[in-house]
Amino acid sequence: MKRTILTLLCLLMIGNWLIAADRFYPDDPLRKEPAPRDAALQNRKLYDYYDLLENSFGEKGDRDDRGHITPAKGVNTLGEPMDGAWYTHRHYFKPMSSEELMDGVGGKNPPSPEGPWTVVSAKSEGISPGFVMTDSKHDRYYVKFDPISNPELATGAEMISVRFFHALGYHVPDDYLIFFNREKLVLDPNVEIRLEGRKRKMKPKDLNKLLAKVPKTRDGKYRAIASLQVEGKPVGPFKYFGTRIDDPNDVVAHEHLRVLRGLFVFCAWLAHNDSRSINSLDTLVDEDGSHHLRHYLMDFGATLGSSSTSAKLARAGNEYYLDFKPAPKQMATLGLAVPEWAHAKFPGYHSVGGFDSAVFQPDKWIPDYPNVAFLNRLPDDEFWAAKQVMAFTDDEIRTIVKVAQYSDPRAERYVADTIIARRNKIGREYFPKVLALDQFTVENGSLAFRDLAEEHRLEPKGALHVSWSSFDNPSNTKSPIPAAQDFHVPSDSSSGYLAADIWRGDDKAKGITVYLRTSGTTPEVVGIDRTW
Amino acid sequence: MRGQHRHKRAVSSLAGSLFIIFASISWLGDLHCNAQETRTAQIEHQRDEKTAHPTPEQEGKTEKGIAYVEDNELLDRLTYGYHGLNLLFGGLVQGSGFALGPEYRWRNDFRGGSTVRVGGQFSTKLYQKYYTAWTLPTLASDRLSFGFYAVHRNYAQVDYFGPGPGSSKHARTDYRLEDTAIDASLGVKPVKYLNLGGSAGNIWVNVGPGTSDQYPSTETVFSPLVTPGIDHQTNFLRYGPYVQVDYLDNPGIPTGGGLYTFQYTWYRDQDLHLHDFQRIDAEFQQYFGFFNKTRVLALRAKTTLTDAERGQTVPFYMQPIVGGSEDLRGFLPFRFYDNNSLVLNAEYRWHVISLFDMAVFADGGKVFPRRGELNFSHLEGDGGIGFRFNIKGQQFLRLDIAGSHEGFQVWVKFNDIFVRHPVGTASAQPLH
Repeated sequence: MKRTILTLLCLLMIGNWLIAADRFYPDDPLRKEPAPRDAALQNRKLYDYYDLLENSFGEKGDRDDRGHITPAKGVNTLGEPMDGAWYTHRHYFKPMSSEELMDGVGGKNPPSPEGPWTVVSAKSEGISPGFVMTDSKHDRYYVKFDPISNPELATGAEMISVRFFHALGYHVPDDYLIFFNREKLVLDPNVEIRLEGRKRKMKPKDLNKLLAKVPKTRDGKYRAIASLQVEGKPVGPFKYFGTRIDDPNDVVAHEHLRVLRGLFVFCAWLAHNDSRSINSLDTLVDEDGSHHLRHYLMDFGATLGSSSTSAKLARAGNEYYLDFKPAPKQMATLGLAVPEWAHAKFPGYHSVGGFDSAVFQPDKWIPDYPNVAFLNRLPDDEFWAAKQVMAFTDDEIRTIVKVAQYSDPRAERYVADTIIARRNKIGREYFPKVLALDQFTVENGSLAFRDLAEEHRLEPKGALHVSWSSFDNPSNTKSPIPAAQDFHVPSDSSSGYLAADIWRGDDKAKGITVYLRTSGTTPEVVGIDRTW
Repeated sequence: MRGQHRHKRAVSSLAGSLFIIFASISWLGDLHCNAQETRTAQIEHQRDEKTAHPTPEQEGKTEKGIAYVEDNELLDRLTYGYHGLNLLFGGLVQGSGFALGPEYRWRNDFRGGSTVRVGGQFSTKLYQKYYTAWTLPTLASDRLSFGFYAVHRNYAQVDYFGPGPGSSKHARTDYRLEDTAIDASLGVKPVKYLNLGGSAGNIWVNVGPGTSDQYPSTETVFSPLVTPGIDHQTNFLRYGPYVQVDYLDNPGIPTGGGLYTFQYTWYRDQDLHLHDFQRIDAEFQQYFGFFNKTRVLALRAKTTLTDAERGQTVPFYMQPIVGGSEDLRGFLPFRFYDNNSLVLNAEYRWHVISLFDMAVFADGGKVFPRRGELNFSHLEGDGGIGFRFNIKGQQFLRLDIAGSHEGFQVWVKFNDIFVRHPVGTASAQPLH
């Protein structure tokens, strides 16, 4: 018996040594995803109603509310998503110029003013008219308008939000604000429309009718968004859970991707309650010698105070479409228990719609229906997003809002002020949940970083403390270096790695462990762990 | 011997342990060798794993069902029809039972766009309605509108309780109403929100015995003296002007603004020359939305006044009627008939969840023989609670439960309580 126990103990010890994986690899931290593999994907259709039901009642994906917590994946050892199919490091990491912020994706490919624009397909039914056109360069654009009741509403929201989401690192379309006369448009003879169940060739009169549903500017022109067709072959939208089965590069369940968990904060900030799968698109792009997927966020016409076809209702962002939780209270009290969000005061500008900051509560904001990636978010996901939101200065926000070209300067000012106020609320909500230090580097032999709570005047309480350890990479264990108690990097690093545990005041629960590799000529930050 | 045996067992046990340790180390060593040396290799390994073990995506029954509906455009076909042909639910008078029928709709570009509709509805109580309509709503750059309407209705068992406000609930009878009407209207929109116009038409009416097994037929209980027109029916030429101010914020589910309608109609008895009269219809709807329009106070007052020429009467089948799902909800349908009517409704509506609103309401109303009695005395009253189901900004179902001194009524309807009828003579009917 004794011998058996001894054998098992031996096995355990040897096994532990043999299978222990290094915490850090030589190529950590990866800034970019490894080169993608070739993918041959077919178009996948997503049905709008099914998406609503599946997300409202389907309980799809690996949900953290089932008793386990899954830290975000799809990140490098610094906790940052890597450049690749979902994301590109942009404004927070390398501040963009005003021109870059205003240009968005490209800013160099508006529809050509030369020659006519040819309408090649159209949507004539419904309350949100639009069409697809090609210009004289044969570039293809999706053209979207404002509702007739609210000139500049949806186009303004789209122009602003698409630029923010681009600066935040997502793949988005290249959108332009266009103004044109009816004479600029010609109709391709093969365009078909469906009217009351009947399909037929579209006539110029139909185009006139379509344009009669949209507002004109004071000088009689039509104002619209021209969205340049995104690069690559469209293969359908992505889902916020699971992985795409036919994509070899898609190895992390989407509900655990930090780029999608953190997207919650961006959507809350810009009131993008229409952030559903149906408003996303995967395209198969040919890049760096391989065919692989790129994941796009599309359609920002229902952001800010717009719901695309009208001003946004106060309910949006506060209740799901199919949300039965508030019902008993509302029924029992005969509606006398007025929800907080119903007190929102909107400015009354047609071009702004239902956009407010006073009753906005970032952590209580919700999209139109449940999104498992959003629900799985953890404080470090929120911090990752909040730090990017807070990186936009007031001037940068006002610069981006200018691209909406609101005819009323008061509307422009209100939108910018509201985005700024909502940004500040996001900082106040999410920075205190963790220790808001970031961008660690080693400078002049000391550990340097940005104290974002201090930078944004959130008045963090207490001084910062640090304790150093030597870190054994294979066994993932720390050996304290008692003498080192300031941010100067100690020289005792026989294991090749150091770990700095940082906390503020007495709150050790909200801490950060920064890992440094010291085997090179200068110490290098290779990893960050956050606790809360 | 025993010692040797024990020694052999110890040796074999040790050898066994060493073998297990060796084999395990060898296996774990393999694992160690397979572990990645770089993060890139680790990710590549995950990609290898995914490529090697593909899990096919399964489409469930619900998804297949929804895919079938969307791919075959079934919802579009239900909404817009198929090549103009559509199936309509409801559309008949209250008390008709469940109604269903086809409608053919043809939209064309004539004069800025016109629509032709032809259809018929049939109900479980054998009510019938056949109609055609031609509307040109945007003539002269949306300044003019024209409509032509023709309808034949055959309602087999319309309730009648006797004339006046003092009629008894227990005096319930029924009659058949059969009429055919042709009307045309021309409207002018001089400014936003305002619609002025006039309309003219003819209506041929026939009244016969009701078909209910439960209640006697009207003519067996009420004489022509108290129920004018029960014995002989006639046809009318009708014409008159109307004015409407409409600044509702959302015609589907109003949460602000108002709708005021006033129309004056002359009825000329073309056959018997016994029933010449004038009719005034006035209706005021006002909506006050608060808390971002999640709460709405909806008010309506409407009156119909008639004035028969000297020696003439208003036949009972052309009299204003009160009672039922669209006015006095705590009373039976068509509960009160007389020459004049007044109805007052107040609803407090509130948002419960996105697709569902509720309301508490109070109704007051009366019929009265002389116009001088247009006041708020002797009103019948009721109150109740309503459940409203909305989709895409339109109410598609309401469940109203109302109580009065005559009992409780439950209404399941596919229209708004303050149902919006087209203006003009075609709408100046007691039974819509």
